[in-house]
Amino acid sequence: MAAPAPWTPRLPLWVRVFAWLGGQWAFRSERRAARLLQGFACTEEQSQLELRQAARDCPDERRRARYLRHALDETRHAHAFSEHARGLARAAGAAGFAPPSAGCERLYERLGELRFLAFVHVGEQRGRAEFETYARLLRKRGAGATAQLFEDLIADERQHEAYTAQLLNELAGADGARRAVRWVRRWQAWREFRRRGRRLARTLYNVTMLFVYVTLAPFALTLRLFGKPQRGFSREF
Amino acid sequence: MAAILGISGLYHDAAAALVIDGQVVAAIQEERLSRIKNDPSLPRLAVAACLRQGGIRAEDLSAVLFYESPYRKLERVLHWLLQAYPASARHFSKALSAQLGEKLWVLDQVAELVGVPRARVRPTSHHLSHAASAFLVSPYQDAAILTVDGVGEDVTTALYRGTGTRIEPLLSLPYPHSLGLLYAAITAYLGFEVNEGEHKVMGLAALGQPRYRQEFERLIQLHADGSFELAARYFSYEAGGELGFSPALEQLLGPRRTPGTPWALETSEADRRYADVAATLQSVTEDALLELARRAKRETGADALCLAGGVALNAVANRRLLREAGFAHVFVQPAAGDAGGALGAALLGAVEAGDGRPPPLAHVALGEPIKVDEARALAHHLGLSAEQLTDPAASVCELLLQGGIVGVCNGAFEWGPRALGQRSLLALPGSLATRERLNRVIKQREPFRPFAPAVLRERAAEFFSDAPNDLTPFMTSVCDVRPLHRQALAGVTHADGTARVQTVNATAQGLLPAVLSGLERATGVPIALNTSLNGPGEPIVAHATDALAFLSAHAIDGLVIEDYLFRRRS
Amino acid sequence: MPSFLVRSASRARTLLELLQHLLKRRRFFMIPLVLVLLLAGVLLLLSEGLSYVAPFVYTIF
Repeated sequence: MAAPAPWTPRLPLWVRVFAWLGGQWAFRSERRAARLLQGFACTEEQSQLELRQAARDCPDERRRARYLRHALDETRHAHAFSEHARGLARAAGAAGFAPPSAGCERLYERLGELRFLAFVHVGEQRGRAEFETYARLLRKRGAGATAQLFEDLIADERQHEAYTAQLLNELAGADGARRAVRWVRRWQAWREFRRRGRRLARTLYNVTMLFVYVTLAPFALTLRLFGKPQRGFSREF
Repeated sequence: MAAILGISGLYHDAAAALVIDGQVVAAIQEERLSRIKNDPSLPRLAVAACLRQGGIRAEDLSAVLFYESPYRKLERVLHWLLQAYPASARHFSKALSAQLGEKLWVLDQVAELVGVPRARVRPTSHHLSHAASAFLVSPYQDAAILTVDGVGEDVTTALYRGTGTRIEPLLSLPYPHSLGLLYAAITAYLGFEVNEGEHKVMGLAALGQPRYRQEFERLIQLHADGSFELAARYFSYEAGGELGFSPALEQLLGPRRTPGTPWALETSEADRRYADVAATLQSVTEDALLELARRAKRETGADALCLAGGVALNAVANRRLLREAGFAHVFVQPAAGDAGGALGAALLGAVEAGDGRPPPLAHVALGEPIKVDEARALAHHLGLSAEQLTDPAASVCELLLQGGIVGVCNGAFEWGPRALGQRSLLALPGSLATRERLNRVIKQREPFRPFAPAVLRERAAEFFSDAPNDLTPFMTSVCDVRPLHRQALAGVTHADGTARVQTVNATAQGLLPAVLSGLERATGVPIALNTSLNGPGEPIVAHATDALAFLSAHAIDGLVIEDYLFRRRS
Repeated sequence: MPSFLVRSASRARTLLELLQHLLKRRRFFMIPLVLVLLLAGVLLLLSEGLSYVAPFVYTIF
């Protein structure tokens, strides 16, 4: 009897809709497109770092190798996005970009392998859908080269989607996989909420600091009038 | 018995170093383990690795020293934000949120991260950490110590006298008059990444002429007493931090170079001009360092000079100091940048605890060893072949002699920015085709970047002038390739006929000495091209996972990990 | 993870050391300034130190 197909989550409808709308706006100008692609390069770079950590910490060799191969794919993607972004920026006469940089949140360590896999799977599924949408959009606009960039990556994304779904089902069964994905979606929604909250807090902070800055004028003046400009060797330090 | 942990981080190059009973047990940069280049975040992974290497737990640590004072740093940032009032308005909020939200509390974060009581954590001083990192592992009991970097807390350049375990402060220069910031500003101007691109600028300088001396005189004034002054209007100090250049500098030197543009020195007039800017910068920096070193000689009368701080990584300048500053000996500890501060802080703690100096630095294999079994298990799943070797050095030589590029991983990984045989990519030094393949395909670097040779110390003088010396075991200086051999060493000779040489003792442990001896037997030339084992934009490989990932992604001819050869199945 | 009390005591110690440093360096005017700034920084605390949370998605906005 053939093994049942692994359970995979359904892609939310809004992903493609938002991608279409966002793409319309973002790809209107070369500069914006360049910045967008550079952003994608950074996302791939972070992805790569997270997967490397997973490869390092995972106890099972077969899965380690899988994560490592995935990480190498993400490195290639990051490079592809970055190169293309530079090309677009140069064509638009804008300043180029530094190599993509990213931080790492140690998600494998923090979420545990199951939820990490769910997270990656959901991310890859969403990424694949978005790339498909962008590719279609760009072909319509006649931006063949950029469309090709996305099309080349879709095959990889499909593979990543497939293996993560398979591993999820292997490790936790269909029920466990479903639970993990639900958890991840809730967690991401919470993070998004917190992110917006942070932005608000940051704005409040900046306003407060501006006010404080203005009140510092007398201190600054005192410093300017009475402070000694420092230059030359000093023996006290 | 005192176990002291030193930590650097939060700005550039986080690292941890462990000194037990006055011996350096481990020194590890966070980037090697986190796989984020120049990772500045507090070295969580490096700390854990150091404790593992030392076989101790956090409770066993007598003290944890952080390499600089967050209080002095905050003071400087505040001072300069006020000094640059009202231009600093834009930066005020961000600079202070960084300081007060995170950096002020670094000692608390370190205590939590390491797992020791807060009372056991204390700060040292930035430049003193640099000074200790060089002097206390140098071969000298008595030396002048010069530390030159971007900026520590509020000092950019400092001169000390080192005697035994004592380091006595003599002179300092204040922020913002800084050679490191000058170099960083021009690095940014030339389109490179700051704190990453400086050595590329040094390499580029050899391809230009110092035609901009007049313009540079407006940027920096050198004084007869060895001090210098930067003209504030060309640099941006409003944030009180380490920013780059102002529009005034672009008016002076021409428009900046767009980052990421491919280099075309043969055909582009603009690129040649940028090379000239680099050459001028290098020349001016060397002059400034020379004056500082001469002042050091006058102040201390010492025979030996130790250098530390980011600017000490300028190998070309170091050669000039060795030749012209009047010191018989010059030493630079290879992790001369901020990572070295971790080692310096730990050593300062050890000295304070009554332990003596460690023996002079003989090697930099201060990281974690590579696990072959891990590699073998992983290789199988990655579709790589693994073959046990009876004589790894001989196998490496065989592959090299066939014109191959071979990665080698043995023992503990290196401390510092250079690969010195523990995690290296090797090739024969003569082939321009191999060099091109390495530069373009594998490492994807700018075409003007040179490669460095490793040579047996006993025969170094035959091929390179000025070699061997106290700098060459750690690749911290350049030497002239003797004209007779430039053709044969085309792959490792830079455009100006120099090479950043690593001298290797034939009797030392490890794979590289054996490989060089093997090459000597086969070709008569005990020299290999030695570059670091890492892909573009990633830190040097540390563990088996990274090494095999590299092999999977890059078409080299083999990877030798201890006594196993790994290859891609074609 | 040490308790809230331990962490607070730790940070209080840091504040004290900062104060001692500013007194030693005779930067008296900086002391009230730093206190005001730290108060403003309570806003930072509310947003949990403003550590940046990378979106990990292909964001457009």
